[in-house]
Amino acid sequence: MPETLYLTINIVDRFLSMKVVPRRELQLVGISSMLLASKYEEIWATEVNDFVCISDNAYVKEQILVMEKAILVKLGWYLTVPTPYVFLVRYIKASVPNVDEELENM
Amino acid sequence: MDFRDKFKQLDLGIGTSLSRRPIFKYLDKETGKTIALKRIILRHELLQALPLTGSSNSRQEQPIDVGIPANTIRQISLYRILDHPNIASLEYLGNDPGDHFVRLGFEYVGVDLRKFQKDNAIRSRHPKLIKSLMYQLLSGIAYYHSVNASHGNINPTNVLISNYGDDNNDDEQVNLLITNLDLCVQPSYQAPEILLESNRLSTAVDMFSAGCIFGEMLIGKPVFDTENELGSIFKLLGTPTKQTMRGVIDLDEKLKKYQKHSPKDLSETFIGVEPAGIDLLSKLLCLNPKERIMASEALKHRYFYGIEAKKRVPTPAAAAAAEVGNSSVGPFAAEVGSSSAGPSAAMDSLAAGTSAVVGSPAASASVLVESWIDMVSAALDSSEN
Repeated sequence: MPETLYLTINIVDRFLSMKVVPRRELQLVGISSMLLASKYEEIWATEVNDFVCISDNAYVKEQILVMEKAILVKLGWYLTVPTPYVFLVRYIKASVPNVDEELENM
Repeated sequence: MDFRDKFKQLDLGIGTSLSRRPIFKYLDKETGKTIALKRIILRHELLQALPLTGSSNSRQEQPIDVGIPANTIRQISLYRILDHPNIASLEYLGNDPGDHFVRLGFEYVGVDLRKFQKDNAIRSRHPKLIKSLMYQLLSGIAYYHSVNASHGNINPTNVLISNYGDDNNDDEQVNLLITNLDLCVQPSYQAPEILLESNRLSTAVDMFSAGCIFGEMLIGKPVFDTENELGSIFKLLGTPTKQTMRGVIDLDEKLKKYQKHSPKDLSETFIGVEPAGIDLLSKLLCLNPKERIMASEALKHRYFYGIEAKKRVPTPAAAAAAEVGNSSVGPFAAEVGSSSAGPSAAMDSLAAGTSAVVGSPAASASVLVESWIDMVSAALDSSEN
């Protein structure tokens, strides 16, 4: 879902603003953030193994899970946040009659 | 700081959790606040060892090593933003060293409703007090629903009563807090659609539970049987038929074992209650979740004429906005989409355990600035037409 992407970015943003991350772990932060976001948003969350796969085995599963936890603790478990997505959808809906999904996903 | 350094265990425990562990109260050594501790288990192996809870929502098959379960993330993230005078706040959040569970410390003041009724048998049946407490209970539930969440486990052990006593005879001052501990309680106060294992649950489940509590306050004992809960529900409210429960659940198989009853007149069971109270009760204890009254409507019911809401505290948006201060959201820290999603956003069945969940499709739609949102959505709606 698009919400997942927006939440991922929000998580990455907030985490990086609180903690210095070496470059080789940057991708790990991204992956773990997306894992968290998809768990929060999606009914069928993407599996950890899929994330290992799409990152071309840059990290092992355990690393992702440790980072997941580290992010959650650092953010104090605050994942219920407003993202730009909901505003965009609402404003599109208000500005254009009969909005279709294609426009929403642009 | 280590948990044991920060808190002191207070008494023998306030009950047993669903995972058969005693729940204790603790004293925060620094602030002097009392909290009740709830533990959320993270490890899948441990989850499987638990008995399934009453509603037998089939726990999702998850492979081991998925990390932190999605439900846990949603739950805790929800608790973090809850901010309402009638909802117990999350005071403490900590991990155990072994990463087996998360400790959640909820504010705990006064006593739970069950004990309150036991210790104050006469006072607790005072109509004016009941009215005040019901209003606070429904306000709390309405707040949950306004952030697109559902409590899912409203029962007397999760309702705390404080600020009463001999020196305080003003019923309006008695305070009610909804908390969220997994105490084991019988009967379960769950809505018939949960007991019938419907997979299409909605926020209406809380309203039925509120109805059970209302009824219990009125007559001083649980409305429904401990043993045969569903049976006793049907005995009072009538056995549902295809017509009355249309589109909710396929009943044919499940209803076979229940006797046919026709609905009873509630005023015969709840003697001496004012007609408006009976009317509200019948709307809360409506079998069909789609026709059951919503929390926000219930607050406007004529039973509550003359009661005013407690003074509002800042909405969660203030806290959330501070938290996301670094992101690009800026001052618009409110979720406009939530107004269109409405409180009836269906919960996904997999998350509909015994505790609070966030309606998944609108999961992010949880921060609400009430005055602001009304204003903006009204403006947007008018421009839409």
